[in-house]
Amino acid sequence: MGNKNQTFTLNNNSPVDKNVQLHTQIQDAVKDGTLAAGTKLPTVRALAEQLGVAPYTVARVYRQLEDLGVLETHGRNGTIVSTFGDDSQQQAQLAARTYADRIRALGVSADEGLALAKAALHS
Amino acid sequence: MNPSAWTVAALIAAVGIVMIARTFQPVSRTAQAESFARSVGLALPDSLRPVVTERVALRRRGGAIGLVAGIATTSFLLSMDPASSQYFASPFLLIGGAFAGLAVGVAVSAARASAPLHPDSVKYARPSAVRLDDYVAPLERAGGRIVIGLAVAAVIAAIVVGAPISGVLIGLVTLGVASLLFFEIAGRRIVDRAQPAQAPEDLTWDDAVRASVLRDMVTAPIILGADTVVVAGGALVDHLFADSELARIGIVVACVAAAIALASASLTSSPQRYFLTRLWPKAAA
Repeated sequence: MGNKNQTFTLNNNSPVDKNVQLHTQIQDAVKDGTLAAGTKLPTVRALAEQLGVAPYTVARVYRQLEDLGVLETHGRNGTIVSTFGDDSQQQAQLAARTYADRIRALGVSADEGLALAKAALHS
Repeated sequence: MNPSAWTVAALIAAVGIVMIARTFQPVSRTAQAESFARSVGLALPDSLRPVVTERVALRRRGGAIGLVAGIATTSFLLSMDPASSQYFASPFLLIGGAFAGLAVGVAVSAARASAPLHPDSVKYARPSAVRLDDYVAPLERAGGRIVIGLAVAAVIAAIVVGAPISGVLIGLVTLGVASLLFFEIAGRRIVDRAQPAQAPEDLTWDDAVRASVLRDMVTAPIILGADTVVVAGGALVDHLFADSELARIGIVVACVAAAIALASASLTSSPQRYFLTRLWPKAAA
């Protein structure tokens, strides 16, 4: 699901290359859990338009992160955040993804979903 | 068309024309923007007031133009049917046509709206993709599909039992299915559009307007489906229980009860703020 309260930012006046700005932010978001495994990223075109950069810039960043194993591209199904860790961890991330999608479909809030999951895990 | 149908058409057209006129009046525009801000539960900052006021006016104008076009088109098509003066259910089709036109109108206004970006400004973007169900509550989205499903089933049932099928009924169910498909297809296109933003608040407000457009669009299949169920139900009851007033009253009571139940559920769930809980939970808290 991802933390939709967060945003990527791109500063045209920054000395840091736009490529690097975006690459770093996506990688940091995945590392700190802001972008959970299985979260779908915006399309190349949409993100490029929103950040005012050429689509090639976003496509290159996505490709670089794909080469690093951070992202996976599934053709028309878009680009998603990869799972990581050993098999158990990957399965757990996919289970969390499935649970999050189910909670979303039920219209239950994220906070309530988390509380329910915590209660279930501790029982 | 019969006189009652013309009356309904004229009333709806008049409402639409007044709505269009109000979107050009500064006092009305301001009031509409502030009313919109209250409905979605967001404070309207002065920096965004002109942009939001324009977007809200654009949406209302687009919807009103669509409403007038919808009622005009439906009236024209009905009047071309020589038997239309006998259709007691013509007002249902006219109302449905108006809502279908409104849905198209707001969708066109959303497609045309864009936020200009200063080339040197910092740009903001959402890190994850959004979906239709981030903007439209499950009750409304499922409601449209369920009601249209019931409508199609009711029409099929009427055909199977040999009840007379009027042009109005065919028009209602066709328009209902078309409006549902339009919402699903055009809705996804709207959600896939980029949201250029120079501050996180730009994104929040863009989401607010986007959610209201999508909710306007999903209203059309709900209204059309409900109309179809009522008209098809009436045709079925008349055919199967020709002499039963009780059956006729029963179907009216059932439809009214269903409408009240849906309206109550909708009001208590604050669907206009649903997008906040999904996309901006901190703002919703």
